[in-house]
Amino acid sequence: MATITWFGVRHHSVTAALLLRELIAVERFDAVLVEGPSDYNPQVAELGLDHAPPISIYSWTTVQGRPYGAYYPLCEYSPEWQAVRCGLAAGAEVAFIDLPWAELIGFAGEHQQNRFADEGATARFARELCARLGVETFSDAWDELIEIPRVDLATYLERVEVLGRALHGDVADDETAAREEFMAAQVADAVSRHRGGRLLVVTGAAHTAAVRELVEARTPGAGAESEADACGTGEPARARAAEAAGAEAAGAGGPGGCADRAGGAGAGGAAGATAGQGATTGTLSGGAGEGASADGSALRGGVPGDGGVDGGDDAAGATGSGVSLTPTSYAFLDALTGYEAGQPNPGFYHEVWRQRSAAGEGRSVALAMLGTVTRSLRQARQLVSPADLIAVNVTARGLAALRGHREVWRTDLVDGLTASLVKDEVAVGGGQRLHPLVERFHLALRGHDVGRVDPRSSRPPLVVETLAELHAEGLYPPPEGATVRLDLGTEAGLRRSRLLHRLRVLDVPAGTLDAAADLGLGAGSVTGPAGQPGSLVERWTQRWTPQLESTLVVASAYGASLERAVSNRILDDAADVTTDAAAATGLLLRAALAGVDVVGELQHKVVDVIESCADLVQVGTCLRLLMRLFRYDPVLRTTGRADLGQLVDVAFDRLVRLLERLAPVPSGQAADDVVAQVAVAVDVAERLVTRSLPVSALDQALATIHHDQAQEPSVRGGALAGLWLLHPVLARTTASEGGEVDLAQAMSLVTDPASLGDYVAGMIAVSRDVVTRRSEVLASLDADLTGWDEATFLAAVPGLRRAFAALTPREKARVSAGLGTGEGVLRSAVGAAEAHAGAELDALVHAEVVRLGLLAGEVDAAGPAGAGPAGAAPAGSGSSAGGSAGAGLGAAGSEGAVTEVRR
Amino acid sequence: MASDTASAHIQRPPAEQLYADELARLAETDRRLGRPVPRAWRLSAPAGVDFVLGDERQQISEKFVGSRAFVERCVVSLATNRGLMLIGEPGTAKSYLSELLAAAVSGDSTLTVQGSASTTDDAIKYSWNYALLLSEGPSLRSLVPAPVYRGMTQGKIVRFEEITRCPIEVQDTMLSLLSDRVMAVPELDDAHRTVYAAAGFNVIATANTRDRGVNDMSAALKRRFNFETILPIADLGVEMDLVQRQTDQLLAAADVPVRLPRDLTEVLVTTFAELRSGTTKGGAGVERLSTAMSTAEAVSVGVAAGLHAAWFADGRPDGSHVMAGLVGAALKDDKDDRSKLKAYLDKHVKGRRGAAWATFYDARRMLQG
Repeated sequence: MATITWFGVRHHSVTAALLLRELIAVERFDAVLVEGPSDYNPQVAELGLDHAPPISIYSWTTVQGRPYGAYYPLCEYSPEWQAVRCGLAAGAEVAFIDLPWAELIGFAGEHQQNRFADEGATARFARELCARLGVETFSDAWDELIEIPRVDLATYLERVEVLGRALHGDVADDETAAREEFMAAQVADAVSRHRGGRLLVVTGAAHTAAVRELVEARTPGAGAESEADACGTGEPARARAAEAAGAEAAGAGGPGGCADRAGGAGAGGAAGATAGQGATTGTLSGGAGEGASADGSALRGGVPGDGGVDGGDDAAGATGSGVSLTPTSYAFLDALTGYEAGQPNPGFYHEVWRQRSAAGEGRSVALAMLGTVTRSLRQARQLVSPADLIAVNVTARGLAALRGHREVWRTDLVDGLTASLVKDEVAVGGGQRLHPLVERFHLALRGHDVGRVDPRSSRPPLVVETLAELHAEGLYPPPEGATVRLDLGTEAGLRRSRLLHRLRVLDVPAGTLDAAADLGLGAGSVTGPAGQPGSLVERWTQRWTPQLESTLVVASAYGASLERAVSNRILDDAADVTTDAAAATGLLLRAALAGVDVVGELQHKVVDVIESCADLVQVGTCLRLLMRLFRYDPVLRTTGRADLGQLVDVAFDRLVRLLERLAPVPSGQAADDVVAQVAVAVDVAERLVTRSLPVSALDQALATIHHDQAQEPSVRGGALAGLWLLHPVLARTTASEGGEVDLAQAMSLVTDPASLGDYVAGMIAVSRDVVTRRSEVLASLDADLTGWDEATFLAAVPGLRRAFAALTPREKARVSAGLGTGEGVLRSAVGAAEAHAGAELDALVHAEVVRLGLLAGEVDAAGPAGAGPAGAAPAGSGSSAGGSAGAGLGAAGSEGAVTEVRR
Repeated sequence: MASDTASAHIQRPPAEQLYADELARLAETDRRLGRPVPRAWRLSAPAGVDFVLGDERQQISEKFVGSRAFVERCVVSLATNRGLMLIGEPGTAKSYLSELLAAAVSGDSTLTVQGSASTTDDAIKYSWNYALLLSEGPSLRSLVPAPVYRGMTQGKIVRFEEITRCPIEVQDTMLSLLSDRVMAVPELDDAHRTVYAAAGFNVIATANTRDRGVNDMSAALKRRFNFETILPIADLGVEMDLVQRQTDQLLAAADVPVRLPRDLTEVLVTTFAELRSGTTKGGAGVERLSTAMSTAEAVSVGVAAGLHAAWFADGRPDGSHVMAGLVGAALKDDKDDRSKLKAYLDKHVKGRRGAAWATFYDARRMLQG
């Protein structure tokens, strides 16, 4: 025979917590069974350590590689917390009896993360109850019935029984049925273990009756001996309970209560009030046979910290589950912030707990909280005068009296504050947002408590290590937020940056990278939002969130140490990369930033990806980054690594292969991209001459491209510049005898003037030196230009304009100087549109001059082929800007018009 | 429960006359339960709340739709040393609520100052019967009390409608009245020079949030009021019931046999709610009109539609009558609003099912010009 005391609770109920504490102190229970994740039972004794609530039991699991987690939040005033703590202190066996969360995920999905949210609070009964009590939410209704009247144990149990049954309804959904079945099995098992003992079962009010009935069904014969009949099971009792619920709603509330409101005499609480504690105490004969199997499943699930989930490389697939303590905060638990805890203004209830749990009568909770709100408002530089405070207090007390509250309650205080202090519309933006002042009230009533988990509790080593490192580096995120600047040029800065980058890889919210350091890698999207060019300083924003530790708990699936976990996570991500070479390099960069050495492990992967990547741009990007890391990285300490060198070889080779088979590309961005990759390839060949890269293969590939008449001119131009640049490299590496590339001759192959501009643009994109250093290029260009007529020239202008626009002013000056004077000058000091307009004007003037016979017909409209120097040109306006069309005015040295160039 | 008073010929009897029997019943309940009644109040605070919100069990009709917490705050504010300021969009029943509260607390809702640009001190405190003043000099006989004077001496609630329409210096007249609860009448002799407010005196002011800026209130005056915002009715079903009930009542009062069919009420209330909130029921965005699409406005459109159908059509109101009412009564000839309404009709109303929606949509031609 075991005696069971059934205690239904609402999670976060102060009264329930107080009554449980007293009950456990008085009764000597052999076992305290609490609704909560039973997979935490092996560690349950750790809840007795020196924690500072609010903390959560965080349960997580991975389904198909995606982590899912759920919180069981525990505040100082949570009944579950008090039951466990007092039970442990009293030497009772303490156990959680609910299904592990991992087994509920099929029912709950990922949407219900808080397992201690109000259940059934949206049901019809709850809505009707609220309507009858004249309150808005179930939380308020609970306060009216339980918290405000400070009911005694007997009244509490009676009311909770009625409320619980009504909330539960007759039909349980699949999840509820499974959970209740499981809890009943756990209780029955405990009964069999504690024959003749005393058991306390603490569950959500909605489950108490159902679990009790299931337990009684499991232990035949128990019903006859059970005193639980007093409160009743079976149909008549159920009907009675429903009736009583109505009475509660109408007139319960104890002294003052809500009786006023209903216009009744407040006798609701009296009926059947004799049903005290005994009413919910059943005596059961032990020996439930089925219990044992249930117990087995309760202990299922990995326990992080004892190596259960530290799978090293095997964990890269991130499968597993576990349960661990994590700190949380009132900010996170506040229902008003949208979290589903169902507990508005937790700071207020904490104060209620503090006052009521203290010996003797405490101060007024509302006055204490009014002080808190006032301080908060004054900190925000809001004027709150003593007269205002008096008005708040008077209004709040008036409301409490009107509502039959025996003390000023949360809603009275909020209403009093709102009525007395807000001098605008309370809702802003069409009722979408609260008034800022009202938000501030709620912020103050929320409380700022942030929990702390005793370091002795067994947590995954990853959590312990990371938290220690964060503290050691001064990077533990403060709740109020902070901005951190890390100079990667310093040893300490780099170390701290690596720590944050490691956590970033693991999706642990330790900081947000606002501005990345400029590492000259040209991979901004991988490293983060760009910061100051040339600056090695990273800027991070940090703010503490409860997810900091819960994500670390989840991340411990990847490995026991931070470095191992980060490496495994990157390797895990690599599994998703198959043909995207840029993504593969991104992984390398992330690893470099995080300071973990995975190049060796990623080597094969990256090689595979590069070798199967058919995207020229991706391979080029990859090569550029690899070369930078290999050769010029002053920060991440990767310079000269042999394995990186091999990757450079592979990427270079791949790029050459892709260039070899380059099909004609369309003009525009695609052509620009290809030219950029040509530049990368040539650049790498030039810089890494000591590595035996297949430069001659590149040379051949570029020659092929250059001679391909169908190829886009800019690509051909780029290839030509590449060939020119490669010549000295080839001369050094292969001692080839090929003569220097004759740029002028090569350019003469371009017969279409319209293409020439693009062609030159391509050349300049690969090497500016071809125009700034090689006079023959400009001379050839100048000769071509001089030989063209109007129409031809106009066709070539856009391309040329684009080509030379890429030069810096200094380079442009050098080009001008190199051209000298007298034989046509490439100068472009006016805008393209202006130059174009000037040229058109010139053409008009010229045509008119011809028409009037002023040129004696020696020059036809086809163009002034073979015309002399500009000064002698038959027609040449000074400049379009000047607009003077006088013949022969074109001054060879005049600044400005491109039009003069061709004369 | 409208009582049959002798004032049957009065177009709109005040609340304390219309609901005299309910007030009597609530006072009786107070006595029976021994509920504490604030000094000089007619009802206890809970009874006041019940009077406004209604209570089926006591056969008290529902007069105002709003949350209980809100009405409780209003009633409690009146019991403190601060006035009550009701703010909200036009048509959210601010004046009606102030009338109900005054009727519940003082049994008299007629001590009303109507705020306007031309409101002067005389209309608030007192003025003189000049014939008597000339013949007898200043005396209580020649003094003509204005609502505040009467409220203070009789210990009653004074209603100050649209207080922000008054010039700011006139508003400030209320400062000393509210803080010191005393009014000086310097013309009278020493014995009568100072009027002290009797218990029960307080002020309910209303201000329209759209008119903010016509005359702002001084911080000093704001401090002497508790502000309460009346929000539009959030629940479509509740608003529909209210509009249906009031429209039917008003049509009956006009001796018109026509009633708004339920589906047409739905069209009316849905349209108003969506144009007011800026979102449709389905969550799509709607351009909000500059006109306040209040519940009161919906009732007046509903009544107009009923009258139109009764007098100029076959007695069956349809969507076109609602559209006519909407264009005439609600849009106030605002070009932008017309365009927004057209866009709303084409984008959201077009595909809606039911004859009422179809006739409503078909009537969009009325929006031309």
